[in-house]
Amino acid sequence: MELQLALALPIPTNPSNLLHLNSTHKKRTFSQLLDHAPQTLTLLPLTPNHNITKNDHDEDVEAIVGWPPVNYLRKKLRVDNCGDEVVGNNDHMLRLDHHRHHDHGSDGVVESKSNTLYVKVKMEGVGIARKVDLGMHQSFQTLKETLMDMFGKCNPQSNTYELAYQDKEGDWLHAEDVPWRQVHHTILILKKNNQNPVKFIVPRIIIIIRILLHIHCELEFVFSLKI
Amino acid sequence: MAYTFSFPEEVLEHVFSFIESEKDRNAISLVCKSWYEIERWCRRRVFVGNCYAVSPMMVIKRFPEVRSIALKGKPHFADFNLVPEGWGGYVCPWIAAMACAFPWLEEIRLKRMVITDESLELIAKSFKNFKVLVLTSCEGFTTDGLAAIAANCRFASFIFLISQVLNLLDFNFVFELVLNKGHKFESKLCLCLVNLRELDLQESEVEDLSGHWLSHFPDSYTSLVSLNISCLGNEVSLSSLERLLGRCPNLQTLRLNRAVPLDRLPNLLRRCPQLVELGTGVYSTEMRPEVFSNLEAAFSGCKQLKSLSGFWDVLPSYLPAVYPICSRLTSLNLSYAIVQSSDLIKLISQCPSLLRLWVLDYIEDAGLYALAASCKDLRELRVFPSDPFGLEPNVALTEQGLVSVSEGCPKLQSVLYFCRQMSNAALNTIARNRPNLTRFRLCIIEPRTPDYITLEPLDSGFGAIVEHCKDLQRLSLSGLLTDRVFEYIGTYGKKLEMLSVAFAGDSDLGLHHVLSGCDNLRKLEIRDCPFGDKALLANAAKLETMRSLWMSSCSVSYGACKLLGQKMPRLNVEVIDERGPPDSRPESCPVEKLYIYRTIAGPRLDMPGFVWTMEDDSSLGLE
Repeated sequence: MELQLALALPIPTNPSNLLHLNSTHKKRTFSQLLDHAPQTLTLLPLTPNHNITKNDHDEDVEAIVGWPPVNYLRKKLRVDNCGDEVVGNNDHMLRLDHHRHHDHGSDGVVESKSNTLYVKVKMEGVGIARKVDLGMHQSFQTLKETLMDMFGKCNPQSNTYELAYQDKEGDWLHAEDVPWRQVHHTILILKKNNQNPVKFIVPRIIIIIRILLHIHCELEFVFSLKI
Repeated sequence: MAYTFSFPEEVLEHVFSFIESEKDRNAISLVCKSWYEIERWCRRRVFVGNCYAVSPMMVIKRFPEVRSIALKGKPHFADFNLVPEGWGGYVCPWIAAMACAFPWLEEIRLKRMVITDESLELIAKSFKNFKVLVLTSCEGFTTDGLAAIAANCRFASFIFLISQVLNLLDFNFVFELVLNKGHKFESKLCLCLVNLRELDLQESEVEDLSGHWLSHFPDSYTSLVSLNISCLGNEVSLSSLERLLGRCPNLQTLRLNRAVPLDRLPNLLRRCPQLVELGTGVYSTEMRPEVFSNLEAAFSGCKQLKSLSGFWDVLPSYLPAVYPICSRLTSLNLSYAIVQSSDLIKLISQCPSLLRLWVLDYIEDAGLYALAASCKDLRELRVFPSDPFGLEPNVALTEQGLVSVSEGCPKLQSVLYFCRQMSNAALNTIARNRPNLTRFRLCIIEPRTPDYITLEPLDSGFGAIVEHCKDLQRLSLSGLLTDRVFEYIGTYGKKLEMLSVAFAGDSDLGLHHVLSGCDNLRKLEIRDCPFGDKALLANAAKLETMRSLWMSSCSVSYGACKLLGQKMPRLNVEVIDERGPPDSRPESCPVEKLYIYRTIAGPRLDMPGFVWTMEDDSSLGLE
């Protein structure tokens, strides 16, 4: 079910086009983190009719209009839940830790924030999309482990990987310099205000993460694992 | 010696008042002229299956004392985006006419129609006794219209079934109005929001989605019978909800939305232990023993609970919390629940009274086998695809699952099944096992898929279905099918009322078999089949005995449409073509879409630019 074959547009050899760099800043730029430009595989469509366009909301566009005959809600469910690992063969269950950040506010107002920061993780060059709930992670460590697990990177190498991200100003920063809660909170704020996203960059592997929320707010995250 | 024997009219009227179904009422009205007259004056409910088949004035003239009307607009295939926007289905002329003619109208039920705010306002102003408004898959209105209903209707029993884009801020406002009215009503208030299609939140601030509308139910309001917010995307105030539930002893149906957390469900349930139907919110949270036991205890307290739905985002370890009530469950809707087969099996094995199961194909063959073993009373099964657009199977669900259920569930009548492979042998077995099937809808996801064992078409399999299931009323076909299957359907499908066909057949012969053979056919919908002019023209008369025929991406020429329109004045032959006027192309050119329906109201006047109704001879003669 997680297998989504998509036509991945070949990324430009200059990654800055893709990643909106601010290259004049004195902090590390993307190119300093990046060893070399990641490769992108273009996947051929499996049937002549099977065109999937890289459209923000319609990741899995129907090949034929109105077929299969499923209604609007069911199509939406499919989009919301694709990449879910519950029924995959993968032993790695997403729902390992249900550490929800409950906000026990006063009665009469919304008591617990919806923490579903489901992030669809798509790795360029790999046709399998995954899903990660950022709300389920307490730290970068678990996030990193999850990502590496998802994409089959062996554990012994985990120490050689670091998370980095690019903030609004285009600065590349080590994610782990900033407490997780702050990053998480930042993500939440951005979600509400619909602003430009924070980006986590992957030097070796560019993983473009799209957040699909119930409220159709979309942020792009690119996770970075530096060797 | 002939003598007439008749009861006084009042007696006949009284007798007729026990006859509810419109089929029976229609039969009564055909007995003789006096019965026709008596019946028409006392008919209270009218159902119009196609709003263009008859004009509002005709209905009003014949049935002057109507209290309840139901109208349907767009064709069924509109659900799958096959009917272009703006095609029609406008209810406005009906409302306008009824506003004058039926001042005592109580109920309006609309399906797949376009209703504007002005119409809603007119409804609110015109009908003093108005009680029930049901809008299913409708569009064209905003919350302003709903506010008008809420503000002006003096009586309760609103039922809203809304499917439409609504701005959430306005939505809250509407509810304030509705609920402020609530406390004045003596009778029961049903407030039910279902199928809210999409909340247009692009311009809304997330912070405003506070769900405060619930707190507007006044403390004195105790009449809620049904609350269904399952499709609302935002969170609601749980404490307000708890208080509301606590003071409404008549509440029977509560369907929550995904945003209601699981650990709050026990408190909600404890406030309304008399619930008959429950839709949960999200069904997962941190696994904590005290939450689990709380939930289990709360479920145990609901002794009347018969129907469960919801179950978004399931954490399987919480499923056993519902075990205490499983033995009483008659309806289980897990069609949005992502649950593995093994957990589904454990759950279903506890539900021996189950009559209806809607589930995703995660249930797999193993789960269906377990279903067949445990649920001997099952009447209806629907298995939906978890990954309808994926190319490869993502679950171990095959035709075997359906075969098991057909073997193990002797009362099974209604089936909707999405799968990726099928065989004639399996269909044959199913048909022989279950001759009592009345609805059989099979969707093999990839079009034109043959029998996976023999690689032959699935003609004989579906043939077996129609042959053995003599009471079959509804059938949907899929897979690789030749004209043969239609021959079987025409020969055996004598009770068939609705047939859906896609990517099937070889020639006009297929269509001809169906039109000439199926005596009770009312609705036929066809897409992407090589059916052309001959069958249609040869069976033109048949079309007047049916409600409607839809054909899209077939081979019916414009010329044939014109001819049909000319010769059949009591049919509206609508050519729907977004490529431009059909007479800008050769007459032999096939039309994009064709919708033919019988009517005594003549061609409609509200067509958009891409719909042409073929003129009949009488109107041509006027030139």
